[in-house]
Amino acid sequence: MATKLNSTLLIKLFFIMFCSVATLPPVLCKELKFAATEWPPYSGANLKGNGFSPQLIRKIFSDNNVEVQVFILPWARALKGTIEGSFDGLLDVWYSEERAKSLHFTDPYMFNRIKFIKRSNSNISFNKLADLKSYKIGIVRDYAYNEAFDSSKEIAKISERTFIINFYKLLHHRIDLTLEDELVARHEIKKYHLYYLKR
Amino acid sequence: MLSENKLHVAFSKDNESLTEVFNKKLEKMQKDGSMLQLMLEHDFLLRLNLHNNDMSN
Repeated sequence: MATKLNSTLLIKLFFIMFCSVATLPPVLCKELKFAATEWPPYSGANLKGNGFSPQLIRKIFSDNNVEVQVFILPWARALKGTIEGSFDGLLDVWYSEERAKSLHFTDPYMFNRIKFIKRSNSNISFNKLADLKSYKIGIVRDYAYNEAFDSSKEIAKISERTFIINFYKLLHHRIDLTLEDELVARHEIKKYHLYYLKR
Repeated sequence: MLSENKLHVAFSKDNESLTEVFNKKLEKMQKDGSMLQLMLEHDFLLRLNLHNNDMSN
């Protein structure tokens, strides 16, 4: 037992000395903690491997034998925790000059495209936002979509608690359009269909 | 489409070196197809939008 403990200690001691002497990047010398927020299918506590972005970050650092931990938290806590250094990094972040003052941004790894969704037999099209003023558009309360859209007074925006409520209203002709990130919308619609198929 | 934003990883101020490690491995994964594989595993491939697939800043 003593021999086993001693050898473990020696290995740890050697590793610490090796890291400090060779001045390797910190990535080779520690575990990394990442924060993310519940945003399926990008990240989510109930998704396989916590979702696409957590799996990407694990693959990114897999060559370095680093233990990667991902914590799914409310957005404000995840952002604050990363700025204050409680987490090494934050996943699924939009760049802003304000955020870049306190964080280092990587190259982008994915697009987040907000698209309008209509019934397949609808002939609605638009070139400018003003083209949409005669339609009822379902939005999610407190979401920031786009500055021009959010501030527009001429568009009839009807807010609901979730995207899937808007999707249901769209199917039942209670609204003409809704909008969401394309991947998020497809994920939510798939989940909605699976739920109703099981009933 | 109403708008498009790019998703990044944001590292804390003490971890600037990790940005470079991330970017290098991401580029490798985009070239060797492992990024595409990961996207497939998560149902991320909608339509291959090749003309609009520029991930640069």
